[in-house]
Formats: sequence, C-alpha cells, structure tokens
Amino acid sequence: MKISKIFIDQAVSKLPETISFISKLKIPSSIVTDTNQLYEIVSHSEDPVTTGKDLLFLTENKGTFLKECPGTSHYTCCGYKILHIGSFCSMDCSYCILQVYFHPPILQYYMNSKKLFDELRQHFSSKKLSRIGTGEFTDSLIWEPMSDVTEKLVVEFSKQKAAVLELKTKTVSIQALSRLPHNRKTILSWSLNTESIIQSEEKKTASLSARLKAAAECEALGYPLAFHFDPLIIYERCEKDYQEVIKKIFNHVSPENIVWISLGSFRFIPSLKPIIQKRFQQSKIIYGEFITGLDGKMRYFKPLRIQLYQKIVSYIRNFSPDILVYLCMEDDEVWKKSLGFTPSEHECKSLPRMLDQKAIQHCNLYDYIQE
Amino acid sequence: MQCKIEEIELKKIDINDNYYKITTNDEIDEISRSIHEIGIINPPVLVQDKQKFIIVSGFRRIQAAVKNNFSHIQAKTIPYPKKSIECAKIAISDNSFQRKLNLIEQASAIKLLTFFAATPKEIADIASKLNLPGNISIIEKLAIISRSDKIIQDFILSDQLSMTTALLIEKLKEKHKIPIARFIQSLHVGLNIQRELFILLTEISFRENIDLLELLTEKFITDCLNDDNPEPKQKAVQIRKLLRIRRFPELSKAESNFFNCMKKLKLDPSIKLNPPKDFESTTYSFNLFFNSYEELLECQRKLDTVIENPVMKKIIE
Repeated sequence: MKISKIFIDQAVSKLPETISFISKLKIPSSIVTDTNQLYEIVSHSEDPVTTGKDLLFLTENKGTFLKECPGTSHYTCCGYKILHIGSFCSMDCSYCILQVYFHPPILQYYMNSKKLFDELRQHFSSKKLSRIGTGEFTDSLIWEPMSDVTEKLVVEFSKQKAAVLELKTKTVSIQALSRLPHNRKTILSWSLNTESIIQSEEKKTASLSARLKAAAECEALGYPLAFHFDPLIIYERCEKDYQEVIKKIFNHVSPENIVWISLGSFRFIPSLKPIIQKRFQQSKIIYGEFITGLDGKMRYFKPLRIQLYQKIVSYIRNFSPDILVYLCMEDDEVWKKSLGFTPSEHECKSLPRMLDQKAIQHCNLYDYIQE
Repeated sequence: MQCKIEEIELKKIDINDNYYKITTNDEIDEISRSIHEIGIINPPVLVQDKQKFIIVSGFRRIQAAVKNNFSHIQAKTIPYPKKSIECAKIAISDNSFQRKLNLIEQASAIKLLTFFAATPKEIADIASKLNLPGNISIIEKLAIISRSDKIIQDFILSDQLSMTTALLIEKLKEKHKIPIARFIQSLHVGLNIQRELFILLTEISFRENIDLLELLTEKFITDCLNDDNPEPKQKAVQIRKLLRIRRFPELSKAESNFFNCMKKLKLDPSIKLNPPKDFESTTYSFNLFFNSYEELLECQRKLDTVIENPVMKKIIE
C-alpha cells in the first residue's frame, strides 16, 4: 500500500485506536482542523482519484454505521446491509464505481469504533436476521493489520445467532483471522475475475491464485466462504477464462462450504467512462456493447448478459448443483433465462430470503426474527 | 491609454507580425474603398520594436493602406514593451468592445492572454474585464482551440465543425486530427451526429486495434463517400448506420429482427408498436391514432387482428 501522508481529524486524534493505527503505518501525519482544506487538495488536483488514494484521512463517522445497500431501481437487490467502516480503496481497479461515488474520492477510515459497536450491539439486540458486510464502500481487509476493527467485528458477530458478517476482499490479508473465535458467523468472500482481467484491470490486487489460496486457508480455519464474480466482463474467449476460474475455485475449496456465489455483469454510471478513459488509457472494458439500463447505468445488451450468465451457471453447476448462485442487480427476465426461475418463483419467494436461508444453513443462525 | 499620434512611414511597420492579431476577417476590399475616399478615421495602434513598429490593432486598416499605396499613415504609438499585457489588452479591447467575437477570435484573444497570465483563474479575471468569457472551463476550451490547426479553425468558423467535436478531435494523435475533421465536416451534420460519428469511429478503432486512418479508408466508408448520388446528409445517415452496426452488432441485429417482424405485421398507420428501449425492459407499447369513436372502434378491430398474428407473439417472446 502506497500512502504518502495521513491526515487526522482533530476529533479523533487522541483516540487510542488512532494512535495505534498511525504507529503501525510510519507515514508522516498531520492533524486537520478544517476538513474542507483537505477535500480541496484532492478536488483541485490534476487526478483527484489518484491523489485520493495517496492520502489517508482518519476521521469519525458522523452518520450511521449500518446502512441499507443502495441498490438501484428496476433490478433485484440482495437486501444486504452495509457496515460503513470507511470509504474508497487503496487498490486501483479500472471499473471501480468508487472513483465517482465519493466527492471528493478520498481514502477515509473511521476511528470512532465505539459508536460502531454500540450501533451493532443495538442491532443484535433486535435479533433481526441480517447479512451485514463491510466491503461495499471499501475493501473489507485493506486496513489490516493497522486496525483491529475487523478482528473485533468477527468476535462480536461470533457471540450472537441472528446475523452474519461478510468480509469481501481482493486482498489476502487474512493473518489476523486465524486466531479468532468466529463461530462461523463470518463469511470470507472474494471478488474474482479472470487472470486476464485481474492483470489488466485490477491494479494492486492479489493474484487469482493468491486469493484462492487464502480462501482455502480460511476454509481450513472453519470460515464459510463466498465468491463474487462482479463485474463479469465480456471479451473474446471470456467464457473459457471464466470456466478456468471456476475450475480453480473447486480445486481449492469444497462446494459444501460455499454459502453463495454472485454474478453481476459490468455496469457503470456514465460519468465513470471519462474517468476510465483518462486513468486507464489501455483499458477496453468500456467499449463493450453497452446500452442504458432502466436505472440509467450502462449495461451490456441483455442477450449478451444472459448468454454469459447461462454459461457461468452451467460451469458452476457441473461442480455443484446445490450452491446458491444469484444475480446481482438483474431483472426477472434475466433471472428466468439464466437460472431458470425468478426470485419470486423460488420457494423462498425473494432474493433476500434465498440468501437468508443459506446464511441460516451455513452459519448456524437459530435465534432470529425474520422480517 | 497613453499614446502619441504620429505620422508613421508604412515601410517601418512589420505587416507580417501577427502577434496581436485577433480578427479572422482578412477581407479588405470594403475598408480599402473607404480609406481611399476619406482616409483612416480611427488610427491603428502600434508599438515600437527597435527600428520597426508592431501592429497592436488595426491590421485591416494597415493592409488597406498598403493596398492604396499610402507611404505614411497616422497611427497611435504606445509606450509599452513590445510584448506586454498592456498591448494585449488594447489589441483585444479594440475588437471585443466593438462587435461580438467569433469563437476563433475569442480563442486568439485567450491565447494572447496566456502569454501574460500564469493561471486559468488569472486569465479568467482579465478576460471578463475585456468582454470575453470569464468562465475558467470555457477559457480552457478556447485555449485548446487556439492551438488547433488552421484547417480545423476554418471548419469551426464556417460552422462545419462544432467546437465540441473540435475539442474531441484535439485529443487524438496529431496524424488523425485533420483527416477526422475533414471526414466529419464533409457530411454536413449537426453537433449531435458529429459527436456520435466521432465516438463510433474512435471506439471501433480502439476496440478493434485498427488505426483510425485505416478505418476511414475501409470500403464501406469510401463507397458511401464516393457515391455521387446521395446528398451529404444521406451519406451521413448511411455511414452512421453502418458504423453503428459495427459498434453494436448484437443490438443492431435485434433491432433489424424487430423491424422485419414489424413489416410482417403490416400495421395500419393508425397503430404504432413501440419496442422497449434497447430491448432492456420487457414492456412494449402501442399508440393508437383516431379522431372519432368510430375510428377508435376500427383501431380496436385492427389491434385484435395484430394481437392474433403469431408474429406479434414472436416479437414479445
């Protein structure tokens, strides 16, 4: 990780978490009294995204830590809850929506973890069946080992029986997980792509084999696993390459320990296109056959998405007919043609319920209230 | 403005130095006739450069005086350094407060200011006081256009190329700029189609690893361009269609299938069937056109026939 400077919000500068965090990074730091000045440094730079990845702002989350997944209209969402531990990412994937999601884009990590855990305990006390993840606005494990929040989260989740934590990553920073009592309430999940896409589009991420090796290690530690093929990118011979990735998954881990596998084709808000053109000039991913989706995002022309989903689903089914494969942000027509059913036709009647059911089975949840 | 009015020998004026030239109008016949009849009413502004004078404003008046074989003219001489912000402001103001400058003149004025102001904000501050656009984003665009090749600037001036398209062209490699500009201007299309053609061409070229010049000389394009019959706009429609098929093959195929089915349905003009945009949703719609209750009943009857046609089922499924 290459960060040149840490800025510390005055409000968190004396917290033990902050002192511990900066002591492990050995990077120059300074206390910020006016956040706007920092935001202006990033916004007015030649390449705000790169500048935003070069600086780290340790601050407090003034809002709520637990949020509903933003999802989008017209397409089926998984009903996941986001635990907002920080924002943006030190890795540099060309397709990353976070490049245009935050204004300005800046690496932020929240130090007021007491509030986070108070909020989480309150949520646990409601016994609501829930799937909670930290990997939506950032990668779940990029701040290992500077922060102990992930460790504390794994332990906190292990003490209850109504919710699961999903740590979603492209790193292999799993060292701390080996010594934790997780009680199978934490799912370790990896975003996967083909070797060729990882090499050309996912800068500073772990290689495919390293990710799968880390997954195997987590399985050996008793953690349930999940995988996310998102974004699936269409290119010549991509189907064969995705088939290879699937083979490798099952060479490394057992299907019985996989809670779910999600598939989501590349989609992007139009304002991401000029960012990719400027920052990743060799990238061809935005020149696929995209149309404007019902939510205003660019998506592959529907038959192309369906064709790729059908292939990938069949590859997975060859290894395991029982793994829950679901589609991220797709409509009923795509579900029906790719998987043979729509979420409402499934015995669980909805995608969130399908995922809940798998979480119950794999993570031994038994003391919950299902909404 | 400090100045002296002096009689200056024309041969002491460097008429080839265009450092301060803003105007794009080189037509001097009319002004020559006027000067021939009544002389120069408003003296040009000059700044001394050693033994010579540089023109700050009044380029056409001086050209007209040369055409009329004057040996001397009355001019205002100013005591500033030969290349100075003071001279630049005079050169710009003499044009911008008299008439609305065209895009290329605005670009030249901004280019002139860039020699004396360090940041876009400083340029914007000065520009706004000189009746030029004071918006930084517009100034940055004008600065780019000021560096464009004269051919591209001429296309902009003659409204054959929009500034937006020209700015896109400026992002290309040097060897591609003029050929693409010539190709787009030759089709006589508006801004939106210009931009669409540019995007289609550059994206096909990038995606398929084909040099843009090679793409422009592919048979489907040259056949269209060399066709003597259609008007430029029809050529544009045809080229756009072919580029779109190349860029979006599967979507184009689906659209073509839909329109073939539509033909088979033989819809009456009172009924229009609308597919979902880009076939992303599953919602089709009909428009019915009628002027009376009787016509509505007639539409209903025709619609029933359409609905019963197996082609209609095929379209939806």
